[in-house]
Amino acid sequence: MKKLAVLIMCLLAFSYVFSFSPTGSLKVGYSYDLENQSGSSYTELYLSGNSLSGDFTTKDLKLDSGYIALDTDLVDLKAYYNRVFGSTGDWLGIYSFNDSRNGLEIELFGFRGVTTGDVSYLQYRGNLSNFYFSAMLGKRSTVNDMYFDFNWEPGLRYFGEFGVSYENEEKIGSNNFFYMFGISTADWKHGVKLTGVGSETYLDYCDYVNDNDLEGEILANLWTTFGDFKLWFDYKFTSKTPKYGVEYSSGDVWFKAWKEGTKFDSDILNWDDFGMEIGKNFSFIGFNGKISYKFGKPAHDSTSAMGEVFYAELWKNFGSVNFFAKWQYLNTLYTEAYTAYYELKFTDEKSEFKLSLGDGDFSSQINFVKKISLEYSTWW
Amino acid sequence: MTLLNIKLPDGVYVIGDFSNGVPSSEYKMALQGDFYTLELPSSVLSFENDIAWYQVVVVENGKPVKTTSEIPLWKQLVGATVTIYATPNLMENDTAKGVGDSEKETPPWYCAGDFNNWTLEEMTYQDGKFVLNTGRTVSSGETIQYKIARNTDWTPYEEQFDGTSYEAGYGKNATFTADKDGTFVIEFDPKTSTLQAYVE
Repeated sequence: MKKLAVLIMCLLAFSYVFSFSPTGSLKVGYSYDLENQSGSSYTELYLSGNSLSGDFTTKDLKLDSGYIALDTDLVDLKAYYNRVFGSTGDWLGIYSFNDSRNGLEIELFGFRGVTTGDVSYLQYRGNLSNFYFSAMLGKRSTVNDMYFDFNWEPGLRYFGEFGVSYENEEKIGSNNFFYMFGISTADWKHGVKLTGVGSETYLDYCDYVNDNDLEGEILANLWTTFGDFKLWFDYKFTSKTPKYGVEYSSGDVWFKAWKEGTKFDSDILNWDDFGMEIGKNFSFIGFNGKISYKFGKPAHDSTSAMGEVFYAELWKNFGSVNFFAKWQYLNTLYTEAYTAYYELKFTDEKSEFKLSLGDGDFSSQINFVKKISLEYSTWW
Repeated sequence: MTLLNIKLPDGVYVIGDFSNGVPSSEYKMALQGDFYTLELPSSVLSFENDIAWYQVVVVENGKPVKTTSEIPLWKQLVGATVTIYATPNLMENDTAKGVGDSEKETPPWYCAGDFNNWTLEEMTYQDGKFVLNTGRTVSSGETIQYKIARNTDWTPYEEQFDGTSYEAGYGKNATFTADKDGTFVIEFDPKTSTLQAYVE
């Protein structure tokens, strides 16, 4: 409550000092868990004046997160409290934060400085004609990171990035370097890309490197498109692992299939990761919908096991009332799970009221959550 | 619904990326005393953001009868090997209950709840369990929410335990209702992932 009072005082002070006559939006929500018989509330307030803006959220009447931004012709300043922010936005995404944190961000003459928790970095973004580039110097505890990335489109698109990541006191060697170079058509329909990451790099905040397990690896990506078909082929040179797939999309129907490795054992349990998905959008008695079926390993974001996912969704507008529902059935080697989500939304020009049942995040909530939520939003 | 009528080998298994996600004889647990155990070399673990994951599955008559949720291993506390413990009769599907490991046995563990305004306090290791004698008195019928974590700043976020899941983020807490008046104690058994509270 103390923080909330400080926040209100700050807003009043800003209103006075900056002749703050804001536009903005307000969202107020309440969820009640029928199983645990517990409720929680949240709010989000966004205000924007001439050069000052801010966004503040509360959870259960306590200040949860927020930012205040000052945008002037010369300098942009942002102060964050408990927010996810600070992605470097380069090709590899060397710093990409998925957790909430406090921090400061300043932009001046094309330079951007960020300091948050154990990370501080200075970035410059610019261009020479149609050669766009950015460079960064960063420090994370005892680790130093730097990169240069570019995009050049004289017809074809040439893009890439190279950099180094090393610990203080460490002598920089070839294993501290990382790079990515690629050529593609301007519409991305055909291309090739090569990414290499040294085994002594410390790219803990780089999702691309971590998700693809690229430390100490060289990865080649090739892709091409023929009409409604896209074919792609990846190869990891160090682990000698190929991964390849085909995607098809035409009208209301789509199909995808992919496989890792070359093992086609008669016992499917011995296969490396693979997947196939087929889906269709449809209209039926005034309702719009989507159905899909997926089989593979991993079957779903929530598991590493082989399995299948049946998914359907349905929606319809009744004037200012919108109905939406979706269902998921997950069946893996080890578990079965069913979930659903229902939503009714009432909208007018300046506000919206939403009533929902269940949790719509099917990637992490695989079992039905007996939860009712109410949310009111208005904007001005 | 059995997937493709696939039959699995009977036994208690540790599964993960290292076993290609399926029960494999290399990772079959053996009964030693009260626990099924397996010593897993850390070299087979794939760490992402310093966290690797495993599950334990009990297979009978070719079908999985109990499967834990994914359980994290924090690289900073994993040595050359990590020993996994399973107690099948305590296991519940899609929870970590009944399964623990030597990483979980390694201190420190911290505990916080609405009894101390969610300030993490270090637990004491006593006779194979982590204990926090809160020193707070509770009244019969009083309900308390709490959970345990690895650091005073809640990191790594993948290892916050509410007695059911190690991924107990915001709003996911253990709940205890006092059955009598007295001092409130919290206890965590790292070999079975049992988190409980009682009144002394």
